[in-house]
Amino acid sequence: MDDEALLERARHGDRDAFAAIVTRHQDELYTMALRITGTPADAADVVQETFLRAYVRIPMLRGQTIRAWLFRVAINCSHDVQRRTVRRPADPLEDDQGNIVELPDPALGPEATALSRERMTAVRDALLTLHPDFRAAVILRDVNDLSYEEMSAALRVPIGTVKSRLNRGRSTLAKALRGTAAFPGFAEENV
Amino acid sequence: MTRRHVDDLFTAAHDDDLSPIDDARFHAHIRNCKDCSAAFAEFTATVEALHELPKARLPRPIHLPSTPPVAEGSRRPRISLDWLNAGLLRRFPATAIAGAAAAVVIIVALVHNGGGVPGGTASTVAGGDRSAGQMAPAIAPPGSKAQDAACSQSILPITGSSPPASFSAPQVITSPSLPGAQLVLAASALSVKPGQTVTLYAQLSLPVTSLGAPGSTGAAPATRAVRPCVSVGVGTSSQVIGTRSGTFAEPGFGSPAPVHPSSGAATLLGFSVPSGLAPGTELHVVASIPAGFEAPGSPALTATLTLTTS
Repeated sequence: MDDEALLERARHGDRDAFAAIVTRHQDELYTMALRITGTPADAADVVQETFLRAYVRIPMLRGQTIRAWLFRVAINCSHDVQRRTVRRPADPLEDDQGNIVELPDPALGPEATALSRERMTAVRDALLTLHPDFRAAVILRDVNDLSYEEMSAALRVPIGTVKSRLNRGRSTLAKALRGTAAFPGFAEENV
Repeated sequence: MTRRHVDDLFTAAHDDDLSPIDDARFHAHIRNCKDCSAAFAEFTATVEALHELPKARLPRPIHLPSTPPVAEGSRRPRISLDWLNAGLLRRFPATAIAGAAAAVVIIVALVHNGGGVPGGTASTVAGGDRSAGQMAPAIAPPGSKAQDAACSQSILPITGSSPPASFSAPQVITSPSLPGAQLVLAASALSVKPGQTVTLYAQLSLPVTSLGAPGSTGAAPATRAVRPCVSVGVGTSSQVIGTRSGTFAEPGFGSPAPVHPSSGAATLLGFSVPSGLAPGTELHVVASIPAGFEAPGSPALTATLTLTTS
């Protein structure tokens, strides 16, 4: 059953239908919130708040794509969290406590696994340096694989603005990765 | 085509969003411009690295209201925590405070003139901690007939359950005058952050008096459960945030984690910690059953929890 059908049933009081929506989207919302806030606890709070807001507003949701709407609420919640929280660097221990599924690819050897992990850390940290608007655009597109249309609905901006923010975000991110040990080729070619 | 123009087209080129003519021009420029070629290679590598970031899995359960979604929408006119915290207070704090002050003045004037509090309004904000009568004149002090009547309206029969295992050490209140009765209050966290959603467990268990079969033994005494009147106050001002009748949360909902087997649905309710509270601010959660609720002359029961903002 697709989201729209589930949403319609939820509007008529079917909690199980809403439960299915939660199950379907909770991990991707958490992934997005984690990349925006950089903190598993904050990201989990964001997802909790998102679904609570969605639940009480379901009767008012008409003609909207629930996925884009959930992302929009989650983005706003993430920005709220960031505004009231002093940013701290992601704690690598958090990965080891089972909060994040970042399992190494078993096909990679130890050296490649370490390099892959180093690249992920560099990208993750560089993401946190982006302007919130650019960061959201990059994460929605390249981490969560949203279409331009979904991004436009989630960010409440025209598609042209989506593309502009995405280009700025990706370019700024590429520049931020220059000089990092995980991306040595960047520094060699363009410094 | 200048270098700057090519930079602007990187995303369109990467996402195959260029027109055929622009695509041809773009790649022609890339072939002839070493800087742009290297920059586009970096750009592409960056996007690929983003796609390599692993997906994460939500590590804890989502708590959701157990009442049907449409029910909450129909209750919008009632005062709710969402309305107070996320709406008016956040967007128009000065207007909200001025409006609240005006409402207090009007209600006080009505009470002093013998007009009383309009029926039904007080039920949504009934409760408050023990100093409510001194600090907020509009709210009747606990034990008064006005408050008891209002509080009684929000006391509802529920399906009995135990507090979720992850909750704080529950406050358990009993009374010799009510043998077998137990008022339990617990929270999902005692250290909270502004804006955080906190789930509360509140339940009064009462023994069911029934005529047993002669000679029957061994059966566990039957109980029934009701949700007490619950309120949340901020700091020492004893400002009552409100109660949320009918908006309860259910643990383990849609979660990959095991669901606590004894967790119930209707005993849980959630509220959002107001934004802007300074660290160290205390929020007082009060669950109360007014005197005379169970039977004429039965005592009042009150359980309190103190949450602290971090």
